[in-house]
Amino acid sequence: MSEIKPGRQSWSSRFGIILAVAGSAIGLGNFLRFPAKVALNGGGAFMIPYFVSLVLLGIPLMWIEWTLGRYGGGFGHGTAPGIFHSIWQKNRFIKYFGIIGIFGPLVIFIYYTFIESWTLAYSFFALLGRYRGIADQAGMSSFLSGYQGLEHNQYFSGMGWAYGFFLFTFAANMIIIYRGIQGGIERFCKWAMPCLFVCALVLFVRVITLGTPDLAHPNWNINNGFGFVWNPDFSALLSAKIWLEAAGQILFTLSVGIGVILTYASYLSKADDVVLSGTTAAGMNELAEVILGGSIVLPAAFVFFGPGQMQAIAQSGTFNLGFVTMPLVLNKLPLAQVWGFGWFFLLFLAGLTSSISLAQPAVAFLEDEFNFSRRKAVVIFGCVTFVLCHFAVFFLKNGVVDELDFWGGTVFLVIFATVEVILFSWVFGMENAWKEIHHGADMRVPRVYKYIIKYVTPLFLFAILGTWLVQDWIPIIFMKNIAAENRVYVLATRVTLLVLLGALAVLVRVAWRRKAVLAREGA
Amino acid sequence: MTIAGWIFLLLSWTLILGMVAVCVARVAGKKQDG
Repeated sequence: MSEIKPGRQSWSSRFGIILAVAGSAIGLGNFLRFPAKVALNGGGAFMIPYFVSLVLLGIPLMWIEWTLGRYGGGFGHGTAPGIFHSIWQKNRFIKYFGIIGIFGPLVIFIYYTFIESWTLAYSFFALLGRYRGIADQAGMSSFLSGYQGLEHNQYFSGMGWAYGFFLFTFAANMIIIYRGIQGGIERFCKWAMPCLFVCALVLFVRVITLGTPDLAHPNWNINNGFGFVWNPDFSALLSAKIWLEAAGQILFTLSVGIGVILTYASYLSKADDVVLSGTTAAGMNELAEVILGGSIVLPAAFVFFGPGQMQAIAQSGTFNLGFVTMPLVLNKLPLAQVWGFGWFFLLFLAGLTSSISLAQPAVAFLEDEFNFSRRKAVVIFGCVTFVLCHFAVFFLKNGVVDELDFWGGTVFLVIFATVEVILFSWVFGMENAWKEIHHGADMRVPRVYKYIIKYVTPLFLFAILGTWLVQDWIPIIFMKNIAAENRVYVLATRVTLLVLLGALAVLVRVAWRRKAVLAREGA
Repeated sequence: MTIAGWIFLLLSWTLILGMVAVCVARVAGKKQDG
């Protein structure tokens, strides 16, 4: 890994960046969001739009982000404002579109760190047996609400535990980020990713060997559990909603359209391959999602709760699946405390490898565009996000986390992906883009992708954006689905996000003016 | 689980395992060449 611009960090090995990108992509969604999406959207038939989206949207965007990141890194830029400016230098405004590549990860980091801290807390609670005696959904929901500070009950009388674990998780993130690309992120991912796969594999084997634990209900077996997830409903293929759900899941799971892969790839040298590395990282994410994630939560829940409750369980949402259903399932197994610890520690590792990647773009922006030291950049990032995280910690019940997730983790993700693909294939030009992708490549991209990247991927993204605008724009903007008492909190969140976007725009303007002045003085 | 369910599960798993195996083998092969 040579030929990096002097002063910039670099990866020490190819497996290091592959594991870091896979770690960024593999998160809570792989184990909690994916199985529910499959079960509720046509079972096995969902995999048809899922794989079509992977081939037409996910893999091309993965290659585009790796290539754009490496290209921008050659100019000393590790984030989208600088990378976009390198691609289209004649356009004064394109760098401002790049702000989304810092804003999105920053917004997700604000709430993700808090949720990640729940997984660490629950892994300790599992070992200590704190929820061992709870046997029903109502009790486990009450335990979760008490922990989150949504209610005072026999399990928790305040937010002390939640806040303590949040502080610990936040500090762990900052320490890893502070240690840099090689000494922090790469070193941690090289340890955490194998550990994550081992935890997931052990749980996978435990679930597929459950058989029929309750002989009074012979139909409640693991075979039918897999059937609940995989039995296809072909009529679902005629629904546009299912295709959009599949496309959204692919964008979400591969971490494309966020901006983190751009930043990670910017620490590559021009001679480093991006095609094989990007495909390998995507493959590892799919392994964690489809094979491991699809085989743990819902099949296990089916075996213990039976078909009658499964629809409600699958629709109960990510948090309930992970923090209510799964602990109840694991409580029914011998050595429940060990299995509980394994499950939540797996989620914690998945969360931590993702959250450190979310922090890196903002830190890289301060380092690259303002020449700040790593220490100074991490301290500034830490202070700003520590304050902002408190919105998520203390106003969870008021819909703040959902709002942050909607804008940072959904809408801006699709917008950013669309800007990237247009810039890459139409502005940079497909011939230049094709040459740039294959620089140092260890694998040729099939020629058909020249046309897929130029026409199909942008159209697919426009279709997602257009459908969203037509179906959801009005009720969301006017907060029609939000309880009246929460509207003020949601509005305050939107104002804060606008201020954050404005602040980033100002920082980009200041950085570019500063560079212009330095260039004039140098000349 | 129905036969169609098994077909979708096995096809999906085979595609993904194949993709990972080929990619990891090629990355490992390049590392040795280097």
